Amino acid sequence: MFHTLSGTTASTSTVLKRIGIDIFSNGRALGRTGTSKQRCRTASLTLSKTLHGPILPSISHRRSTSNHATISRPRSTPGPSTNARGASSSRRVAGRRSSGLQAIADAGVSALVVTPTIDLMNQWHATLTNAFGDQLPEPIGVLGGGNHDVTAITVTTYDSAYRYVNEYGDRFGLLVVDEEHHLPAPTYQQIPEMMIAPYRLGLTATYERPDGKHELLEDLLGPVVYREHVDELAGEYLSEYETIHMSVELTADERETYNEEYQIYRDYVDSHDFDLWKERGYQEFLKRTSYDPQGRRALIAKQRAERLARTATKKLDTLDNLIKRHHDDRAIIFTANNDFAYDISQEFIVPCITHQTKTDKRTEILERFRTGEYSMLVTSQVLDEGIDVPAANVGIILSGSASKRQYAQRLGRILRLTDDRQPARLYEIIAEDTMETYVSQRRREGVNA
Amino acid sequence: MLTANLARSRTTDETITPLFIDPSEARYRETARELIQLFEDHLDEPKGELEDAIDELTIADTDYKIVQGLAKLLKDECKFDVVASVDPREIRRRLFEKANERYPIVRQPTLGEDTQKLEVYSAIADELGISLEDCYRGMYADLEDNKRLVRIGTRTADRYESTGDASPSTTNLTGSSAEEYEHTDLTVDWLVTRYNLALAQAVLYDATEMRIRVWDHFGTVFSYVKLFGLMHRIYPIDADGERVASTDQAAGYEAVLDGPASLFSKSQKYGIRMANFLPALPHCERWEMTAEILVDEATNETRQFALDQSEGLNSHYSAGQRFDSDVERTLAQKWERANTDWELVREDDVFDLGAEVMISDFAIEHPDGRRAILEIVGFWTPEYLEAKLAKIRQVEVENFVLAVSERLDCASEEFGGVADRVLWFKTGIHVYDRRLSQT
Repeated sequence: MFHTLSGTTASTSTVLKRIGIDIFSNGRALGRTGTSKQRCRTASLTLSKTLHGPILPSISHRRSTSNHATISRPRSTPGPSTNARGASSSRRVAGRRSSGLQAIADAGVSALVVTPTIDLMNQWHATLTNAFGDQLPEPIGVLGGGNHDVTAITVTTYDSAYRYVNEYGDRFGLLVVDEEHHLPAPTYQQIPEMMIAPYRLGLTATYERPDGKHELLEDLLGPVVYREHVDELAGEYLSEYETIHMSVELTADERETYNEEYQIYRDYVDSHDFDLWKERGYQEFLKRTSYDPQGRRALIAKQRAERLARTATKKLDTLDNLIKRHHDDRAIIFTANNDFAYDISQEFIVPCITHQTKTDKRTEILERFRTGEYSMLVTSQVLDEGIDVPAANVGIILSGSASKRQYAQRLGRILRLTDDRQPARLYEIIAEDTMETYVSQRRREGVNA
Repeated sequence: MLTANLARSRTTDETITPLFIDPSEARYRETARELIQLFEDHLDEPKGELEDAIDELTIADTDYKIVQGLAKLLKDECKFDVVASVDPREIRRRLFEKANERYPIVRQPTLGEDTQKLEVYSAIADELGISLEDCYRGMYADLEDNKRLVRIGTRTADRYESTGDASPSTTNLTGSSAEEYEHTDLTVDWLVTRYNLALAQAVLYDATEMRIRVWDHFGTVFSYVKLFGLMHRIYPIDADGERVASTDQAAGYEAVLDGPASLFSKSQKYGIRMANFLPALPHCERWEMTAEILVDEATNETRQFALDQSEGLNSHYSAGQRFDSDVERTLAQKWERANTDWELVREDDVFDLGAEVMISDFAIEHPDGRRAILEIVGFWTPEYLEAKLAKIRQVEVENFVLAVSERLDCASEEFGGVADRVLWFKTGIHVYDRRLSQT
């Protein structure tokens, strides 16, 4: 692993100089090749391809005051809301990605694009190659997933970026962070902190984090410069959709087990004074489970009850009916856990994607869904990130968690304009009189808010 | 080895200590016994079911980390394989294709044209010439949870006995495959003592430096230092552990090993090798180890971790025998085939440099009496190499040559020092006969 690093160091700097795009350096990397220029060079990178999809109107870029080459926490420059260190909150994958392309073209400096998953990294790689490939002497670089090629425009994952930021933090003038809501994690924070890039752009469909840590993003990247709302999108870009809530009963056996387990959990939390609906109360409960055997049993009981509700057998009967109704449509079925996704895949012979699905297989399945070779798909949570899922007009949520973020993204998977402009449909099937009932209510409130 | 989430240790202001278990305590022995039984009962069963059964043991047990840790060590001794008569991907591809023509596939058909899954499965089973069950179970046989437990330790499930185990051999620049030097019987005693060792190993993943002192079994200990390619400096010491000026006065040796956290790029691989080395120490009658453990990456704060023979740790590594790295092995083989008067001789003794010693690997001897010493260096940084070369120059050893792998460089800067004593190589050392190439 080490040899590759030392091998690419010299050549990358050379290439950057040759094509004449900005190099920011703290002196280490360039000093070795004999150049000590620490100022930016002029940009010669232009965008000749027409960008497809909506180009977001209000993203413009302004050089920040910290042009000198130091590795430090970026200072938030007070001033107009058009700071380049912006966070753009857009829900559509294509729209977000073209904002990124536009930023790279406008900034005209070397750029690092950070993505949460290998799959997204590959998709960005394709998009970037398409947009800039013929203008660069070297291919778009890939850092991560077994690749280690750092070039003027490089895509990487959060994990690889974190791992190598001390090495390449001085190489890029523009930092683009896709799905930026991941950035406030303690380790990932170090990515923007250790980069000298004066231009920064964050992209996400789900700016707000349940833990409130999105407030850190202003320090890490800059203030929000553009925001699109779900409603606006639904009117302008997306098909109208209707949501249908359905509920099923647990079977007698399921109900009995559910009640037993739920009671164990309930008794435990009631006998201790946790305020479970608050983050801190739940943390306290979790802490107790690590040293109190009864607490541990209560935690397991809660997990079992949840699982029972999520995978209630009667959901399959309801799904059965929905599949009959929609067999001519394009449907994606969502589950909260892998096992259930595979169960459904086997039961209804539907292609399945989970986090265990290898990148190439996932791409293949999605591609076949895109071409219509497959008309149905079942998936656990992996599609929650902004992967380009081919349009579907029916979504069926069999179970899920209450996070507002997840729900917004799931909707985003489905609510696409269909050819015949038929309204898209979203079904949510929950188990009656279980924890799911509450979760579902909270979810809807979250989206309406 | 334990994954980081299964590590258990206590940190105070100065020290970090693994939370060892008492190997004689009945409840741990009972858990170990239960687990071993559980694994044996699940031979030829899916991995997911084994995992569920392990989880079942931890329902109301706050020691679940210990249970899961013990289970992890057992899993390390197991082999899980995809068992399917046809490649699951092929089964799936055909199933989904067929199914797509037949949707809706339903559980309770209401109309005559509704398909039931059985029709699709049996159609594909017939196409592939396999049974309906093989088709259904084979569909996802490649999922981690559906892999079967085919071997525990040396016990192989009967039906896989005959299939020759063609495990892919990997070329390692340092180290050889663990089967060669690890020795395990899956007994309660092995498991509980192995567990304590694993707890100590887990602490070492974040070591910045490790110092060991040994007073016997030097050969075994140094052989493992070399096997894992660890960066080391070795000094002769007296009976009290104080450094002495020459090996003549030595009662033992102190070795300073650089840890992964001291490298330019922290390498997980290196950290694991460091931890891998630890089981070599309990071979000694008397040994001491102190390590600096990084507890906070942001502030570089460290704690001390100390261990010695009094802890009663046991080694599951073999002693005495020397284990060649692949580089050494292939060099010896190439030398055999080369046409040269020079002879390659195994040199296992420490090479005396006064207050410091080096561990050479080979001597190259000519019938006319000329002799050169060769050391194959494992992982390295420029400072490490520089220090080694400076030492050699200082004592004016003319004939000492270092063979250094370009691939095991752990630094950002290139090596700038004079390299006349350094023989660089990538994957292996070539053997040329100079006389032939000169003519």
